[in-house]
Amino acid sequence: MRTSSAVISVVIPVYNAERYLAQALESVTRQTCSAREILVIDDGSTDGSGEVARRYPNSGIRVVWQPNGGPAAARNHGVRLVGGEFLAFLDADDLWEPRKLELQLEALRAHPAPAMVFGELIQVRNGCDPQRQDVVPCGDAMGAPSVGTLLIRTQDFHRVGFFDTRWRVGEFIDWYARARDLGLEEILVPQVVLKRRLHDDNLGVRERAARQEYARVIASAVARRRDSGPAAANLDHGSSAGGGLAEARLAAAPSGSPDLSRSAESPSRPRWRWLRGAPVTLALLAAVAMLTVGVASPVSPIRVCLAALAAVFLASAVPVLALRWIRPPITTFMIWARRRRGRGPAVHHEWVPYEAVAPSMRLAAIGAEDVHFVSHAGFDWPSIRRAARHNREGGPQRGASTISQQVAKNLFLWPGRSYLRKAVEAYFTVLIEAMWSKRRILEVYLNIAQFGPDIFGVGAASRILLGKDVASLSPQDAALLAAVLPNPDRYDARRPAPAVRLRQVMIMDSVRRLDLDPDRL
Amino acid sequence: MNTRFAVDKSRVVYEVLEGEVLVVNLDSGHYYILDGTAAAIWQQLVDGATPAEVAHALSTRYPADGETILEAVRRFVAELTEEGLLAASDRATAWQGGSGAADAGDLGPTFVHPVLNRYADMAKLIQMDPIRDFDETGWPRRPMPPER
Repeated sequence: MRTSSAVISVVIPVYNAERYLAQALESVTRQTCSAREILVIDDGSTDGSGEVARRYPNSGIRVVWQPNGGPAAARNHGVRLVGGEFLAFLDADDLWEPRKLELQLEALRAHPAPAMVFGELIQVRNGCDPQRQDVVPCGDAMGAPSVGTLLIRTQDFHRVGFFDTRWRVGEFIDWYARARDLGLEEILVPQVVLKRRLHDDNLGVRERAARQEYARVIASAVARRRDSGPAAANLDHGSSAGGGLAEARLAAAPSGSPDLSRSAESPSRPRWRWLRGAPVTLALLAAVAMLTVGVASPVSPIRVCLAALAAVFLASAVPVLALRWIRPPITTFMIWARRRRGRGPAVHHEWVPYEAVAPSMRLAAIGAEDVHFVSHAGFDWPSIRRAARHNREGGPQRGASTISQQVAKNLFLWPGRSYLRKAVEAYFTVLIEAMWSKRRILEVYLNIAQFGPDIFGVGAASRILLGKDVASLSPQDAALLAAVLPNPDRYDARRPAPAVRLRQVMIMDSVRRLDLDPDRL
Repeated sequence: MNTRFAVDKSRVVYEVLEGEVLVVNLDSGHYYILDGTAAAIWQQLVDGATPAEVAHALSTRYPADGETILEAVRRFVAELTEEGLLAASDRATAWQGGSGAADAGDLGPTFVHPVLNRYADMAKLIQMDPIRDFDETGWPRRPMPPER
């Protein structure tokens, strides 16, 4: 049975594996259910790998070269070029068992919901005779998710997204965690489908650095789950029972859950947005009228109260309205910083218009501080509820301030935590959201946010901390600056601590998921 | 109580992130999330403090009974070693009162018993993920599978 109506695309990344590639290709072309499309991505090999692939006697194999970018980049490149309904990967030194595609396709077809099929794999070593190129098994067969045993519908792969090229060793763990978070079901075919070759190389110092990456990959997966829906709750509630330890099982969301479609949605603005100016104008007019009446009429307690209320409202609303157009010359937070530093030098601050700030920096601020910035009306209620639950349960104090709330706080209020401050902050947040555009809110935020003990705004921050112009910040630079925002007194972008580096990575991850055009904000 | 501990770097990796610690056991594939007291204790232990020193540092911070704290630390250390995350080390250098105390800023006002949250949802994947290295000999290159 060498034919199939299914269109399966196979992507085979290769980097300097000329010795094994022909065998790998043979294991693909001799499948009982043949792949329609076989694409070899030559990842800048310096040996004859590309040549081996091109000379392989099967016209169905395409070979595409790319400069060396690692397995994640090579697989992504391949996925962009193939058009099959199903997708599978094979590393150039591994071997598929002949029924791999047949068994897995059958399993996947019996399962219409979004799913990923894996199978068992067995590790092998090179045999004694290098001429015969045989392999000997090493250990028992094991069922474990692995990129070489995966078969998935291409559309489901794209829901999860490409492999993250920042990771050197953990890219499949990262991808798999994302797939699970989306609710993709996992099917394990109970047969060996892959022989994975072990090499005798003596791994050195670099391996240790690579191992550290596992912790980073998982930390970013955990952070992502906390930032999103129901799976997060499971993680947060993983608690220990008596002396034993709790096993957290991340419940996969039911198939067809709204989570799956979320990645396709782009954040939208509330429909009532155009109404924003109207109530504010009316409120201002009403306040002026009340004040006039209160002042002009005979004294009565009610009128005095009304006039006082109106005066308070005007005294706060008029400056906020004015700041929609004029630059805030100074903020209360700058005054506090200056007071705390005594008679030392003034704080560093320089105003930069929105257009002059690198788009990467605008996105990094949103990705780091307020991922729902464009769609909320000043308060991110789901995050507030999560933080409240977390704090109630005795975890480390966590906040959920939006960018709008932070602007209100930094401009008009004082540092610290109290209910009074929260209330006043909420009041100013409502005013700001009502009177300014999101673009203006972000512009002011970028210009007044604190990046160091005496550094305010991205202009001064990028010049002093990174020695760069704010217009030319790379995504890495921007994420690094945004990483110090939660604790500018302790974190230093010039000498980033490991925690800052990790936050930087997570912010870049978050930005990648935003799917926002900063110029259209 | 007077033993010092260390992380076996070939099997265990960890990351400290804003008062939380994520620890991965590469052999078992389990990962652990420590926060609050657990994170503070971990930090002090890997900085070279003995359980007794950790308990002492905590008892100066909390009104709780010193014995209770010492017992909690002892049990937590036993859990950590049982899970293969820490092992007794023969280093002799005394603890300098390092970063653990400084990072403990997220601790609440009352002593909360340290909790080791274990997660197994990616265990097989972590166990089986080939560790690759990139150099002229090509990738993937893999280590031996973990010994059983």
